Amino acid sequence: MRYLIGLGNYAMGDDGIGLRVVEYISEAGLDTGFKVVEAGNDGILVLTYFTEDTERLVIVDAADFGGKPGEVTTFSPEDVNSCKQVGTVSTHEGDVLKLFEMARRVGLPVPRTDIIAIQPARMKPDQGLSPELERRFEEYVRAALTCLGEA
Amino acid sequence: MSRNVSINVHHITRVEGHGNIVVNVNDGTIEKCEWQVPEAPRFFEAMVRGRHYSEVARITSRICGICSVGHTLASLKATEAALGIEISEQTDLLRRILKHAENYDSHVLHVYFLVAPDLLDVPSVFPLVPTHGDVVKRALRMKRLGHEWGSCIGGRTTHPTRAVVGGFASLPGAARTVREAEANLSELKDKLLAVVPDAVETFKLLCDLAAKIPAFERPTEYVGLVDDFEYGLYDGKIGCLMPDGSRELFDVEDYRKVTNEYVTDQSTAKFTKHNMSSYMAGAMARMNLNYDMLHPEAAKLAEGLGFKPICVNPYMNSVAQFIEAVHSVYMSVEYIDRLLTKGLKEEKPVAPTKYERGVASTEVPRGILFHEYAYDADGTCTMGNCIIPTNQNHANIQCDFEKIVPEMLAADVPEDKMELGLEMLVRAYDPCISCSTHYLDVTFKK
Repeated sequence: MRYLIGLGNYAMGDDGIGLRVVEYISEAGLDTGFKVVEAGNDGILVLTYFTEDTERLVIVDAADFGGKPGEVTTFSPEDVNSCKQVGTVSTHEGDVLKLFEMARRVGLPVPRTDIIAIQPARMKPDQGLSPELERRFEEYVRAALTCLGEA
Repeated sequence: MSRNVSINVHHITRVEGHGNIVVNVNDGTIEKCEWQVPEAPRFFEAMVRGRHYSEVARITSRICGICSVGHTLASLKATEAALGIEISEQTDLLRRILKHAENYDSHVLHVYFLVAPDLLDVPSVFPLVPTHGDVVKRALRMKRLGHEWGSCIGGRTTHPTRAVVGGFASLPGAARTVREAEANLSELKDKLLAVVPDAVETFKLLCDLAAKIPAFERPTEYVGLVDDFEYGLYDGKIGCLMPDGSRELFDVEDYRKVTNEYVTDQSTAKFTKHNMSSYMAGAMARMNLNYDMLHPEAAKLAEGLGFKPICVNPYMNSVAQFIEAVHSVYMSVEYIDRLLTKGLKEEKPVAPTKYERGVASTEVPRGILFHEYAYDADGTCTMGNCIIPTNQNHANIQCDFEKIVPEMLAADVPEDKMELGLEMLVRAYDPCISCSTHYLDVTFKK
């Protein structure tokens, strides 16, 4: 099975972009041939998809990759170094890239994964997206579907 | 015995949020023995003022990323009480299944990922892979079921989207037809029954590790929901159980008579007390209050694990959580059967009939939760009050510390073992001190 996973926090402005993209795809009924997982901040939940029967993971998340606000890029976990200082995986704080390191270290099967990273403009308590991300929302949806071979 | 002890655990690990353990013993005299909560207040009660009733549960759900279902349901019920809304039997049963999903999901997370490492002498669950790979895979499998269970009913397990004031915004599994929704419930039932072998293996693991659970006892008052319909979880009256077995029941509207919040210098979180200097909320309190209402399959496991009410060892809270997780599986299967036998219906959310003040309570994994709101004639919130279970447990943790530290000193327990024992005690309460958010920060490899 292929999974589209949305990460982030709805209540922290652009941090919610991953959740909003996968929620849109689910509500619009575009999730054919794959399953949508709204994981929020639950890194351990993402780990539960590191199993033999997972053919493919596509993760949508906000990421500071030095781009312009709203810019989107796709990479695999092997393409980047994480600059984030996180002690461990918890539901309180997380870094999805640490999950891949951990899974490899402990011998869990690591599925083929692409991360659709969106450069945030505004990370602060806010129920909405910044105008920069709002304007390009359809582009993010297309990027997710293209990555899964559905567009 | 004259000895010096200096324990300063700054931000205990494997709990949600930040708490400190400070114990100073000078020449055998305890100078400081504190459970400290340094988190900043988050002002949710102020945030809901001025918001429409349809938005309030969406906001207060964010109080916690683990207990967001419970916060959503307590918020919806309080708003519905204020707005004179009577929900349907179908909504009631679906909400109960959703509540059980959260309870199971959180308990599996706590027992396997936060508590088991202490019992297996490792710093986290992941070093167990080379030696206990089957345990880790089982933990991940069980955790995933919790997510799929909650998502089927609520749209999402964390911050559910389908549960709204007056009912549900859509059918289980985002079904477009009743028949499709019933098929989704049948599939969920199959998944629930499929977890039974993993639950049995977890039971065996806990039996093997039972001797490592510290034998500490401190009778206290136990507070939790008591419901005529089922084991107190989704709804009911406030039950207060004293160590001698006597109990009182309070209407939820009278929650302030039980919680009696007060401020203390050692904590930014309020403490609570009722008949004694503190009370305990959570799985162990619920089981002490509702033991006879456990599903028979869960009761068998409770017996096998040596849980007998009134249990007064707070370390047994983790055992109670596992038993509750199994109870939640079987009760949800029963509720699904009931819904399928009767047949699902397309239902629109029930509309308000008045705009006044309402109070509600729902248990969350860590204990009893209260929400209260008042609304003006436009349906705008004018007042909010939320009392979360971790706040209600802080005073009880402090009282446990005040009994166990002298016992540890009398038994000449080494300082590192004292520290671990106190950390395990705090973790047993599964405190959920706060939630926040973070995002990726990367550079590309050249």
